[in-house]
Amino acid sequence: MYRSRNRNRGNNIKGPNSALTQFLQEEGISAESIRQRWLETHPEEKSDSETQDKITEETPEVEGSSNVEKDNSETEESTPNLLQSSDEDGSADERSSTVWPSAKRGVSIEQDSDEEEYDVTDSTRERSITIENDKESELKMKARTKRVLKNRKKKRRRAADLLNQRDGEVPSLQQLSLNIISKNISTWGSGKDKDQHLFSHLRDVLGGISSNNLNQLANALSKNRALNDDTLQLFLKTDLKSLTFYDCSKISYEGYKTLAIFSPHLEELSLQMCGQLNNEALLYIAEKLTKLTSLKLDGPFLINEETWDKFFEIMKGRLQEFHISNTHRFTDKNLGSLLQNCHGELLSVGFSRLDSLFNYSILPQYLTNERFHTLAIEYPYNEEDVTDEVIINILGQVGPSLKCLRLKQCDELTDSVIVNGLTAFLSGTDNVNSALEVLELEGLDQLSSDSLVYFFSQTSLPSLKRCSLMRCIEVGDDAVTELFLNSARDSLINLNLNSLKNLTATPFSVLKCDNLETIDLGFVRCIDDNVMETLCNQNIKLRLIEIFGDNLVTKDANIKRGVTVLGRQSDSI
Amino acid sequence: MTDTSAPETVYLIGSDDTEHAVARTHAMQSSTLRSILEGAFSDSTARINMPSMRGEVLDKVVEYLDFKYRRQHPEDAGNGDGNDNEDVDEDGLANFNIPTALSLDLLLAADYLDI
Repeated sequence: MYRSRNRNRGNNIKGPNSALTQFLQEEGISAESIRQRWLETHPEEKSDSETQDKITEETPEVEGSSNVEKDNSETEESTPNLLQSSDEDGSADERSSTVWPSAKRGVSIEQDSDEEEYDVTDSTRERSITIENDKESELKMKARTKRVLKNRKKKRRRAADLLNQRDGEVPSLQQLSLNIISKNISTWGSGKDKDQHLFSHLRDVLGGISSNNLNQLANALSKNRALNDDTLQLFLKTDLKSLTFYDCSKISYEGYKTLAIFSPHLEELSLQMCGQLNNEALLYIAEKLTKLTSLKLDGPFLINEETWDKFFEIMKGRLQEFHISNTHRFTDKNLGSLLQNCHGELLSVGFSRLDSLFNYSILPQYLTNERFHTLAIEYPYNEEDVTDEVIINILGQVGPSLKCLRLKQCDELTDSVIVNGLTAFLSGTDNVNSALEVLELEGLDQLSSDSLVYFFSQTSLPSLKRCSLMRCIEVGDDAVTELFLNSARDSLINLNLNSLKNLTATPFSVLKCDNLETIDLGFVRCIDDNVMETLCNQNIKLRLIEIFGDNLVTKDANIKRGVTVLGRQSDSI
Repeated sequence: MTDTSAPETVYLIGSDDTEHAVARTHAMQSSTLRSILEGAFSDSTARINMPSMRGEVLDKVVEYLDFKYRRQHPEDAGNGDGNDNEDVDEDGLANFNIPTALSLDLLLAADYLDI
């Protein structure tokens, strides 16, 4: 998600901004202010500078860029307050326009109306008027500053939209209304009588709203970090069956208990960043939500070992999905308890960033449900805990029914897991696996092309929608080509080949996926303008290409209309 | 499919019996209104009753339909440079003014009309 650099007000020393730049900005010192002061103290030199200006006017093409910088800094000087927050971006603007004249810019930059902002002849003419008539020029200057600021705002918004993957479409009225509501919701909840009325009204009307909008509201509140015990009340609907909160950091344990009381029919609950969820609240949830079958928690670090055990005992016989991440208090004992109590029903498990979990080897013997569909093991604390043997054994148990397999940063895994695990147990009947929809093998740096070539050539994956081989740095052309030739090419929607540094342009000539919408080719250095054009032409539904770090893609790349390019070096704002 | 004999203007009738005129092409952006207008039981007078929506909410709905149409069809909007007048709020959303007090009712209306 795009976050403006200006949000971090405490310290602006970031990226190209040095401490010196920040100091000069804070003190209001700029090249133009120094020049003005010098002109004031040396009136006799003024005429010289005038002559200089005239010379510049005669050769605008050569000196245009420096002139632009002067001119802009002049306008910035006139409105220091307005520009304070955007100085750093502004200077980047000017630098970029110096290097790439606007007329030569690439497709996505073409719309930027730089000509208006950097009109050289206009600026020099205005400067001579400035000397003749100060008042008139001051007015013009103000108008120009306004225009510059507006343009800059537009550019920044365009960049933010690009990074947020929000296309230029008009937002829906639902989205606009939700935006207003989420902006005001916290003040309504804690405000005066009139606001309280609005809040209770909101609670009433949300009863009649679609669950899609309710989810969007939860999303918007999380994004604004406005989800707290007050706003939580909006979601207390007795008929609610599924709820996802993306940022629960401000919900207290009392809030969770209220949720459990007022939404007793909840079946699926996902609480991300639930740092305040404590032992009492978790047990309360387990007891009161009698229909709960799916629980996904991120960051429940207050829950201790004993409580986990109690929780799994209460959930015995009904817990079907359990995903947990980011806690150091979930131990081997708890994993044992989860599996012993709930193994019969478990259909989906996920473990990510659990610093006290080591014994993954007990998983295979308990995962026996023939409808088991999701396995995610990510960022184990010790890489040697998740071995080929563990994964092969798990796949031996549940491989044929798996819909989603996520293995991230399990450094110990080798080709064996592909050959003896995936190929052996996921090949289905007649070497066709119609179940697997998501395959994410990320950061497995010991995987080679050979094993993947074998897997993709032996196993047809007609349902595969998402495939990621991100940071499997040994994987090369052969494996990717084989993937593109697999029947998965007809179903793939998202493909992530980020950081596959060994790739060349060759396999992309056969990449022809009718349903492919997004592809991440960041740090795949071979990607150039030709590959981009091929990708656009051969994949009709493609709408997003990420190419961070691919410096061979230039502004001249021929990008099809409707395709968003993220991370191109020449697309500076 | 727009019937050639269909009237150019559609009237939305609010709970307070107020009439709100909207161009048919603009109204067709809402899948609900489109179904009503194109359905087998479409009203030949093109008057659609919206008993759950107040007049001021319908006013905003009509305004949004016009706004969206103009943004998506700048060539039909007159001078053709709608983008120059475009302004955005700090979240980057198009500057379509929604009074806070109306936001809830408008959300329900938008939800129903699928816009």
